[in-house]
Amino acid sequence: MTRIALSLLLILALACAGCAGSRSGSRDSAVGGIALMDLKGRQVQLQDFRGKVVLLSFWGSHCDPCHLELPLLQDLWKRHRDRGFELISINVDGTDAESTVRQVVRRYRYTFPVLLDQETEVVSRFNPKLDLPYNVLLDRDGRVVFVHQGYRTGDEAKMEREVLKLLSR
Amino acid sequence: MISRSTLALVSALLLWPLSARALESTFEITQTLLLDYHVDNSDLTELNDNYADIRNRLNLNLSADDLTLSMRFDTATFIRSPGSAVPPYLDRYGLEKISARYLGKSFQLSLGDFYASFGRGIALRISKVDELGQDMTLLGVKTRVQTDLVRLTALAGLSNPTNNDGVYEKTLADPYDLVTGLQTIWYLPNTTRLWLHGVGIFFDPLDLNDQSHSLPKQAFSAGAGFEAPDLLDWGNLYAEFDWLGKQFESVVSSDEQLDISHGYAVYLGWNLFLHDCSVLVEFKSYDEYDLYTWTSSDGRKHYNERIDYIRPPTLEPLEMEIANNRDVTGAKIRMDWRPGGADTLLFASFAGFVAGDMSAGDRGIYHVRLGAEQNFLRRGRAKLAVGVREEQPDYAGAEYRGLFYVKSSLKIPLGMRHGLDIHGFNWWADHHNALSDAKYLKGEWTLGYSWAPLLGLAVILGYDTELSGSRSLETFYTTQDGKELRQVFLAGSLNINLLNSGLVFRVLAGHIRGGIKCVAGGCRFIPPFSGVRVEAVIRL
Repeated sequence: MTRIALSLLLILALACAGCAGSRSGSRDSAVGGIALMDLKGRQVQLQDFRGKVVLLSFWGSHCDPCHLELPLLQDLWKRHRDRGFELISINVDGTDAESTVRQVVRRYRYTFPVLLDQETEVVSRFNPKLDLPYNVLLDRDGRVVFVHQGYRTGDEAKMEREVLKLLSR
Repeated sequence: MISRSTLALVSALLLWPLSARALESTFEITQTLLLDYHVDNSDLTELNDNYADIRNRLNLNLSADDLTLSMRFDTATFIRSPGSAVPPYLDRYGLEKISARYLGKSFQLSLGDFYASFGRGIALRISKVDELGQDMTLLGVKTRVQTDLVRLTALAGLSNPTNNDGVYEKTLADPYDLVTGLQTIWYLPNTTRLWLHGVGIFFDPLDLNDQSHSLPKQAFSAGAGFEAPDLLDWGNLYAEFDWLGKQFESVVSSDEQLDISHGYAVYLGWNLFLHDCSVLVEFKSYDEYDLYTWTSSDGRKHYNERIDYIRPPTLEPLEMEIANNRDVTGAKIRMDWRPGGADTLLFASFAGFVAGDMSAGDRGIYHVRLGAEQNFLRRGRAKLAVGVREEQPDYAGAEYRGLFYVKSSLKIPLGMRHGLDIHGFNWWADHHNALSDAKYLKGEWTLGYSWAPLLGLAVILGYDTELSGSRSLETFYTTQDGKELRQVFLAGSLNINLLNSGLVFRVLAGHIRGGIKCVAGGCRFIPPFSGVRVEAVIRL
């Protein structure tokens, strides 16, 4: 009973905070202090991309739809990166498959940054259901403005419209 | 013992200053509602038939600057659940996970539930494993200090699996184990890294788990690793060694003497990147190397389940049924070749192992896989892989398993927003020993249509004739005692994506195949599903 009461108290506190600082009214970055390792072993801070439109794309090496979508997102990134668009892919396979991830990146010739969410902390925050592929689009201030789960033929056109909308702001 | 309620209170206090500066915060809600109606799934038991359940998961996330507060509430309500089911289906409402995190550039602190992994998951891997319906965290403290030269991680917490079992829908009690760990990583020139780690697990120190008689009293592991992620831009190298010691209460001596067992694990990974080719070579050698717990059955009110603390690499694809990843030595080589960097990919892999097995002695295993992939029409792709896997005994009369399989997928774009998708696999399997000889089929094929970004439709055909030991695809197999076991499964699904994925509906109706699922040597039997499942996901 105590646990339920405390839980309700916490929900209330969260709700108050949430109402006061809803996503649309937020001034702050959603990426906070998130730092992940890239394939070269370097720590990458997502906050360092502030000022750019950033697409976080969560993927797994066994996820076939991910590998249909990522080459299309890579095209999008190549076409618009000069205007301040950054594609950051986040692999969620876990540590046991890291060597396989490196080969998959080479297999599909991905040239965008690949970060490793080895402890699934980041994917659990943005995408607690672990749906893949899962895309989170951040504006230049690091706020989440669009999310999309799954890949269906043609989804990339919708993503491009959202990216262009943000780039033109 | 730190209770979840205490942590909730501490976190609420942490939240207070965060609320005060609410204009700088972001708040995210993910709400998942699952409604199931189970009809008879023809799996030889009636104790999981003809009932409904409503399961809900509410994830809340509040973040501001480097601070994050996360909570997860789960509920499970059962309607007309089989009264004679043991353990029973229990309604459950409660706080499942809670955490407060500070993620700074050089300092990180997690209080509450957190995941953890050391090396390649050989020393420690506390994580969510969707394939097995498990989501384990540690409930305690994790801290990390990082500079340009060194990273230090220290953690301690009680093991905390999700209490609503994702597969059987029964309630899991906590195993009450205390897990501690320490890791130091040194960053050397050219992004090369070297590390040491140690893990100590104290099983059921408070004597609350009625399954602890089958567990060690404590276990310790220590290991070292090395990684060169960027060897002159043509590859990378990884090496790890771990030792594991487990202390059991002596079964021989009546005093408090402990028996000690030792295990070790070696893992090497080498990626080599040439012009149009990439090669991955992996080696593993595990000897008496496993580390898991059992959740308490608590007077048979709760379902007791094995949960692994480590997930060493298997070197084989996830869909393989690999039950023994604790006593095995061998290697795999996989080569990808994309001629001219064009739309065609050819791949081949070969894996060979010698595995110890308590029932059948040492056995040889080989696994060959060949395949090709072709891109077309920019968004279309065809893929085909075939493989052979055999486990051969080293003496006559012992068990033999043979498997020939095909795995394929075809994605056809139909105009700008429509697509057709066919994918699936088929296994032709042999399994025989001195007492029985079985040849059977397993497979699942999906035909899907999508209309972006709104709609997805699919028809799923599955089959599994392992228990009948025949390759005849009859819908039901009648056992010797006259019960019917379903062997052919047909289902349809509808997926509707509204409000830019802010609202997603999924409906599944029909029969879905179950079977053995194994992840890094930890296996679960997933029961087949028959009925209707409605899922609604709201993201705010």
